[in-house]
Formats: sequence, structure tokens, C-alpha cells
Amino acid sequence: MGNSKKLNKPYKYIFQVIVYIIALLYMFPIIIAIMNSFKDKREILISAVNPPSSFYLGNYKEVFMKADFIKVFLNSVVLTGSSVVLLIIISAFAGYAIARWRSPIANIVMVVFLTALFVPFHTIMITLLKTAKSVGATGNFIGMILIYAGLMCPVPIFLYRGFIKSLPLEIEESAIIDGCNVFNLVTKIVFPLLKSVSATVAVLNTLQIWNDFLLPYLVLAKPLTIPLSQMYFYGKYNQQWNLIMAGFVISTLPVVIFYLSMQKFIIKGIVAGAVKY
Amino acid sequence: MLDYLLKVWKKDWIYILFLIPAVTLFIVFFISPFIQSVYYSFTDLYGYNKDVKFIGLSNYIEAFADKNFLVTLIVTFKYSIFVMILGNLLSLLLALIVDMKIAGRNILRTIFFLPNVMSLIIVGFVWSFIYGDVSRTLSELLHLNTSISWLGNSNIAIYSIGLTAIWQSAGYAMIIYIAGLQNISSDIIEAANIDGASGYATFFKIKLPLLSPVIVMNLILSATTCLKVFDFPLSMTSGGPGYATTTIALYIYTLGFRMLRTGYATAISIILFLIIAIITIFLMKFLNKREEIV
Repeated sequence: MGNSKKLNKPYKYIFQVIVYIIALLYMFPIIIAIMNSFKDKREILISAVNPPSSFYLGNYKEVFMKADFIKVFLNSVVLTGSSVVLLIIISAFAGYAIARWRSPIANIVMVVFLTALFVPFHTIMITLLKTAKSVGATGNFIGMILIYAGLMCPVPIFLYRGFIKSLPLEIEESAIIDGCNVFNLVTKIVFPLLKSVSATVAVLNTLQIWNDFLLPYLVLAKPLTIPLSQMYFYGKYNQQWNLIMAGFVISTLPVVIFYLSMQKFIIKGIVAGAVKY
Repeated sequence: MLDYLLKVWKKDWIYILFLIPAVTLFIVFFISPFIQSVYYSFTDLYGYNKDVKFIGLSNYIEAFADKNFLVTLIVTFKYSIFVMILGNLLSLLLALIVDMKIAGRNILRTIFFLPNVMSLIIVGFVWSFIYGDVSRTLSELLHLNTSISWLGNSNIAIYSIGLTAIWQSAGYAMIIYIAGLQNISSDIIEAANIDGASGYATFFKIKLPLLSPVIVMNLILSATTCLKVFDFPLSMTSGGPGYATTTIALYIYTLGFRMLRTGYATAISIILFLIIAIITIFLMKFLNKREEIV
């Protein structure tokens, strides 16, 4: 924080103004999208950069109806929420086992999990879909949730393992001496200590799953989540930019609200996740 | 072996129990598909037909004679280099801005990171509109005679997509750069200021060298995301015009799910994996060396 160089006053003001202009330019695509979401088709054809002449809400009404937005939104909430909860539970248990089990097997398991980070999704997608079909995991949310948990657990496990390793062993040892069994020890004493890691895991994976396109496109194959429904909507109303921009605004608003309220955890999580390399 | 496993189970069954859910899902949905991918890359699998013949290295040999694949390789590399270099420069610049003592720095950070939380597909739509109608309107307003066909010109379309990717992803690397900048001890900077070093010198002689592990780390992160880019070309150009914006990942998708040449597609997907692994390992070696120096 204290690293910043102090600037002389007049320079400082000029510099600030330049910075604010950069920030405004950065917002340009978002501003354009919001402005055009309030125009009707004819008004966009006349000019795509003018502010809208009135707050025309017809596009929003149309998107809500035609893309079945409320249903799709709830689908996304259910799918993302359940996947993240399952992911956290299985990763916390596995992370604990790898951190505390004094066995070469634990290290081997961790190395295998981390090697997975080198493999792009596209290398497994064709055979994953084949596997998913053969175990009945396609076309339904339960299958989708299990696939997310399986594919995304390596990073959370790594984060949990690191955090648990940094906890003093004494707490766990004294609990065992007091006659607590390992399962109770983990669920009642260790897991409550993991709240901050769980929060970062939760927000980062929520963003990732919420915005994911290709995997649900292959596995669900129906416009059930927000990115999927937007893709179908775009294909159907190609070039009707007024509708597409309104679609952008309403499908992005929930995630922006989530971001603004969880910003602290997102930033912490990115920094923690970067260390994995 | 069995005896050993039995002994382990008796003593440490609780740890094994804790590992089972994650390991099972990981084996079913990751390890097994990965091994199958390697296997099918040596076969003539068509769609998901049961009738499969082992054909040795034929798919790999075909790949390196396949003009379209070579084009997608070049397209992906052009895109990756463009986004990695320009994106990292922009991220570093944004991090330096946010790290300064100016009013509203938290709001600035929020703005620069904002595109990062949006779905790539939907961001792609917005930018298609900007490259189309908005660009046309702007060039009319500025009385330019020609308007650039950002996504229609096969020489520049991939860079237009790259620009979108830079806008969307710069905030992510920015966060990591900010953490790196804040890790630099303020004592060093103060000492440099007392010794009369200019801001320019402090940046190039002190901050930048100390940041180099962070720079390499960000390059690794952006290399892995760039080399497998899929959503942007899919939503903005569908890979066109021709193959001008078909990246390797999009080509695998097209081969596997549109042309049903799944065996050949898995071979190309293994090549993509090897490219990413080699580049990542190379950059990581570089990172370790750097850390020894610093």
C-alpha cells in the first residue's frame, strides 16, 4: 500500500482525469449494451451509439417471455448451488485425508489430482460425453452435478490440504485423547475452521459453473441454464440486437450483483489459486 | 500387494473413506475419459459406434498432413501470443494504476475486473455488435470512408477476437499483479526514494525485476487459457471466415460432434494436451530459475 509514489498536485489531477477516462473507455461495451437494450429495432438501425430516446422496456418483456428467463435463472441457481455444495463437501474430506494421512498413497493421490490441471477440457470432452451417456448422466441435473464435482475438485482439494496442514495438530490430538472419533473430529472441529477457504472455493466455483457453456451444452443439450439459453436465443433472433442486448443485461445482472457482494472473497481466491503453479 | 492394502485399510480406513467420494468421481469423469481419449486416438472411432478398429499412428500422421489442422494451429498460436503479450501489458498497467494513491481506486479495481465475471458467450455477442453496428455508426460519425470489417476480414478477425479476450480477462491478471506489487517491501521503495531514484527508475530497476516471478506466473495462466480458447470464436464467428478463426479447441469440437470423426478428434485433442503441457512445463522451469536468482 505504501509503495505508491507521491505525485505533485497539478500532475496528480491531470493523471487522475486520464485514469477516469481510461475507466470510462473500459466500460464502453457495457454502456453500449445497456443503452441499446432500451431502443427498439428501428432506433438501433438509425444509430447504435446514441443514448436511447426513451426508456422503452419492450425488449426486456420479450426476453423474459421468449427465453423463459425466470425458469432458466432458477435452473442456473439450482445447478450451480448444488454443484458447489457437493464440491465443497467431497473436497474438504479429501483435503483432510491427504493432509493428515501419513502414507505415500496420500501424496500420490495429490500428485494425480494436480496433474489433471495440465489437461484441457477439450482433451476429455468426447470420451467424457461417451462415459456420461453410458452411466446415464446426460440430460439431467444430477449427472451434471456429479460431473462438475469430479472435474473441479482438484483445486479445492489442494487449497483445503494446504490450509489443514497449516493448522496445529494439538487441537486434533487432544480431541482424540478426549475420546472423540475421527469423523466427529473432522465434522465438528476441523470443518468450522475451514470457513474462509470454503468461502473462496464457493465464490470462485460459483462464477465458473454459472458461466460455463461447453460442458452443459454437451451434457444437458437443452437451453436450461443462462449461457445455454442465451446461445439458443442468439441463434434464433440473430441480428435482433435490441433483444440480444436486453438478454445480455438481464443475464449478466445476477452475476454482477453476486460479484459486488462477494468481491473480497473473489480477490482472495484468485491470489490463493494462482499459487498452485 | 493385497496384504499391504489390507493392512492399510485396517489401520487407516477412515482416511480412505474420506477420499472415496472425490476419488471415485474423479476417476469416472476424468481419469477414465482421459485414458479412453488416449486409446481412441489410435483407432478409427466414428461417432460413438461400437465397431472400432485399431489403426496405430494413422490419426497423428493424418493430422500433420491436414491443412485445416495446420491452419488452426497457426490461428491458435497467433491468438495466444497476441493475447498473452498485450493482455499482460494491459493488466500490469491497470495494476499500477490501482496500486497508486488516487481517489476511487477501489471503484477502478471493480470496473477493471467486472468483465471477468461475465459469461464468455454473452460477452462475445456484445462485442459482435460493437464490431458490427457500433463500429459502422462510429466510422460514419467520424466521416471515415471505409469501415473495418473486424470479424469479416480473415486477416484481422482472430485479433479482433483477441481484443475481446484481453478486455474480458485483463482484470484477472491485474488482481495477481496487485498482490505482487503489494508484496514488494515498502522499505526497498523508500530506500530508493531517499537515494533519489526517479519513479521511472524505481519501476524498471526495482519493481519490475521483483515482479518477474509474478509475470511468468501470469504468462502460464494466460497461456493455458489462450491455447484452449473456444467460447469466443464460437459465439463471435463460428470459426469463420473459412477457418480463419477456428482454434484447435473449436476444430476438435467440429470434428468430433459435427463431422463425427471422433477417433481423429481425440488424436488432435491429445496433441493439444501435449502442446499445453510442454509450454506450461517450459514456463514453470523458467519460473523456478527466476526465483533462484531473485
